[in-house]
Amino acid sequence: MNVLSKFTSLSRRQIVFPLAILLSTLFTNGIILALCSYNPWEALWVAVVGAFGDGQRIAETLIKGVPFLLTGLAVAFSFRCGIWNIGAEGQFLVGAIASTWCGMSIAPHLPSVLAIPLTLLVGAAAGGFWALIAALLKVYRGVQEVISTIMLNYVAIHLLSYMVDGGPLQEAAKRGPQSDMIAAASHLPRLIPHTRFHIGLPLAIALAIILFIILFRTVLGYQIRAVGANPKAAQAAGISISKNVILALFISGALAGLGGAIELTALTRRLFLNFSPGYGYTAIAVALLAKLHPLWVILSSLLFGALKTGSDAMQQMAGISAKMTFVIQATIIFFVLIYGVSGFREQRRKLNVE
Amino acid sequence: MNVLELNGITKRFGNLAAVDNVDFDLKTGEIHAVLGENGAGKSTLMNLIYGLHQPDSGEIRISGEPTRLDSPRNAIAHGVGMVHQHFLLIQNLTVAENIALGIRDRGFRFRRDEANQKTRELSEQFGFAIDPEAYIWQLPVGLQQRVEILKALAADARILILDEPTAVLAPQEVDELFSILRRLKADGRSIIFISHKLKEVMRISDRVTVMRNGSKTYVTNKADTSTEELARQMMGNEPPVSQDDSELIEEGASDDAALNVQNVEIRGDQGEIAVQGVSLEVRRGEIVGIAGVDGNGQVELAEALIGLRKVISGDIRLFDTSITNKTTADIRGLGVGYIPGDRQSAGLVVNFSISENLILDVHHLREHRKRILLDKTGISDDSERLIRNYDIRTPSMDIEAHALSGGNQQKIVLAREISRNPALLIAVNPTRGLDINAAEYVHKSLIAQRQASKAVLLISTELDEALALSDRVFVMSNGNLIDATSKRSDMTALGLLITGAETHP
Ligand SMILES: Nc1ncnc2c1ncn2[C@@H]1O[C@H](COP(=O)(O)OP(=O)(O)OP(=O)(O)O)[C@@H](O)[C@H]1O
Ligand SMILES: [Mg+2]
Repeated sequence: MNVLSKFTSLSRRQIVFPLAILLSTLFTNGIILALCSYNPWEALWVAVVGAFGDGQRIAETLIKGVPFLLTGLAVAFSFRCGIWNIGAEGQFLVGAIASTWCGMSIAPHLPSVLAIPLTLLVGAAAGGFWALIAALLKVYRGVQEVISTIMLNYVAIHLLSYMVDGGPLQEAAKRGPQSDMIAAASHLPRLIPHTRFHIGLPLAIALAIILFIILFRTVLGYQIRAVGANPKAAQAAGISISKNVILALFISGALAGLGGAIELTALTRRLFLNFSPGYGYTAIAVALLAKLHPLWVILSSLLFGALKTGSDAMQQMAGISAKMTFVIQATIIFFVLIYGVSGFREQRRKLNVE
Repeated sequence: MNVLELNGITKRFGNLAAVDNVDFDLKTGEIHAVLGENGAGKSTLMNLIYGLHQPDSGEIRISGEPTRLDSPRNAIAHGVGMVHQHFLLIQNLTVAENIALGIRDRGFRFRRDEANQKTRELSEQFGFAIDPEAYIWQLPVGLQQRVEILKALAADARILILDEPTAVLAPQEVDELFSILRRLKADGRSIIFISHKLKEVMRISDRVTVMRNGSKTYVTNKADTSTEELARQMMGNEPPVSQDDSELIEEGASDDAALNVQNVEIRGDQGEIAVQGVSLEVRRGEIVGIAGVDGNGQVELAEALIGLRKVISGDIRLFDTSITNKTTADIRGLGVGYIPGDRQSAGLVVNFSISENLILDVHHLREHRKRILLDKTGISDDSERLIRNYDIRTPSMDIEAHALSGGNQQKIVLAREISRNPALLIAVNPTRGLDINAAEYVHKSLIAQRQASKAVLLISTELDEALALSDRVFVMSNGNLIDATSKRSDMTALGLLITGAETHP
């Protein structure tokens, strides 16, 4: 099949629909901006330049995608098992808290080769155990994970604020709600000079590939997908639902926790109040847009990264207020999800026919 | 006068013409049966009339008018109603609520009294005997089906499509359905009726259309044909599928009990006692049949045997190992196979591929994996063999199961469970939804299991099937198991046992 015929055989959905979404997104945001007496053309230009203008900006866009990538993978993985983990936010924070502790109390006594992996592992484990609470409640007490994971988010948020505001992790000087810098030995290396581009992105992409293999090539992934797609049939075939729910939630929490650990050790290097601007919630949109496919999560998280740098630039360069850029981001996510989720409807329709 | 006319209708899925240039007509006030093998295109044709699919070419005329049916809603507005093989009712709403849901242009407010009243009137008009205020989950399948029909009638369907309506019904329920259909016909409504059972088709229909490989191959008045002729038309010149029993070793019958059930008591979904102190033995080299109407505890018993349901009291032993309240994985590991009655929901993961479905029970075993990875080539060799042996009609093993015809979906589960040659096979309604050839193949496979000294527990709502295959027959009624082996030739006595008119031997 030559290139042309391949192109023409793409369905309407594959070409017209994304284009329509793109245009309606731009149009809606243009109107919103114009109504608030900003210049929409300038805003668009600034956003694009801000996200992709030069090497440094591209690097910034890429690393802004990393927390979305890890939390997005976390959500996608648990959703595949039919578990609605809305708690990536809390798991992300608990991961960051645990690695701050590790980075301050253990890492100073270790060489980097040990300190870095240990700090990351501690963060991942903490996230995993945080999710495990919800898993055990579900398996042994029948508590809906949607509710328990949301509740655990609040616990994590308040735990964080206690830790850095009067608690054991607050900086020695006790001036603000933040921790001291973690030990240099636990700083994740940055790869490109004059940028903040760090090893977290290649690491996260490798994880996405590994998750893809786990889900679609291994016995474990097969069981997790079977439980997610039809628990009744999985059970009748002898697949343990409890075991897979526990495993899937633990892995999911560990991914989100690792996200927190990487954000901390690579970028902020200290913990503070409002450590996450809601990565764990946006992660749900990231995962749905990627149709819960680990490899597509890579692309969709980079899109959300670009959205973030673009709107930061609008704020700084076009003087658009921060609140306004949130409105714009939310509008874009909304339209993007129309595209992402409509695929599910089509699938469901297919299933209902027989 | 034709209420419905299809001219040259074609529907493709990818390269496959599921319906291929089909002409079809339905006269006012007739019952028109559609016959054909699994995968012949019957359901697809009906989905086209009901607006679930749109034809790639051809014309649909309703009452002579060319009509485009682009959604079920549109089809309903044109007087088409359909009862799917898998009911689309909402379990925790009442009958009247479900029926009110079907009629949309009624404004915003739900008037419960009016809905109940309307449902009662309709139900009386056609002799349905349904309580409008009963919840769907409280109703046996036979009545649920009537609710579906009522739903179509409430939307004033003039054309009623029934896709394999009798597959889930007990013989008495079939009689009742047929008298309802006759009444609808007398009322001037037209009915399309799909079935694999030729006797039923000869009983109820006025005309018969036969489909094969997507094409209409034969249409006749019922009066001008016979079951033999219909069977011939359906199968064409295809030889019946041959049995591949190379893997079975003849061991000869034996007196050992494979399964020994002592006095088990089991709860149903609603907390009621569904099985009351039942004892049963299945020996090696024996097929034991349990007949009876759905909802008398058979399903609960089968689920307890395979570890999906706890028993309150009593003991279940497999070759002297107690498997009471063990996990399904453990019980399967000891050599028990299970063909669930509700295959779409308990036997298949419909959005897994066929080959993924074929290893659902054994994917973790050594022969299907290479360390932690699934063994792709091994699995596909295996799938290829099963697809061939069980004649699963599909363009490829990588297609998702929901894209197969109803009967071919069933065959996936049967192939998977029977081909393991389990020491004990629990088969619930194994031939439901299969065409004659496929049903015959399954029967032969069960007999082959017996020949190889395996034990088979056959739970079937079809009395004929249970009688024909089983060495010993029981009837289950109201949670009690009654030995009916001595009455196997006395149909009236069996009928009484099944309906529960006589509960003690
Ligand atoms: N949604 C779909 N996508 C792809 N192929 C399909 C789809 N639905 C049906 N088919 C194919 O179309 C053919 C006809 O299927 P159909 O369901 O109409 O058969 P049927 O006559 O109803 O069989 P059965 O007696 O088994 O229910 C089959 O080969 C099936 O695999
Ligand atoms: Mg069908």
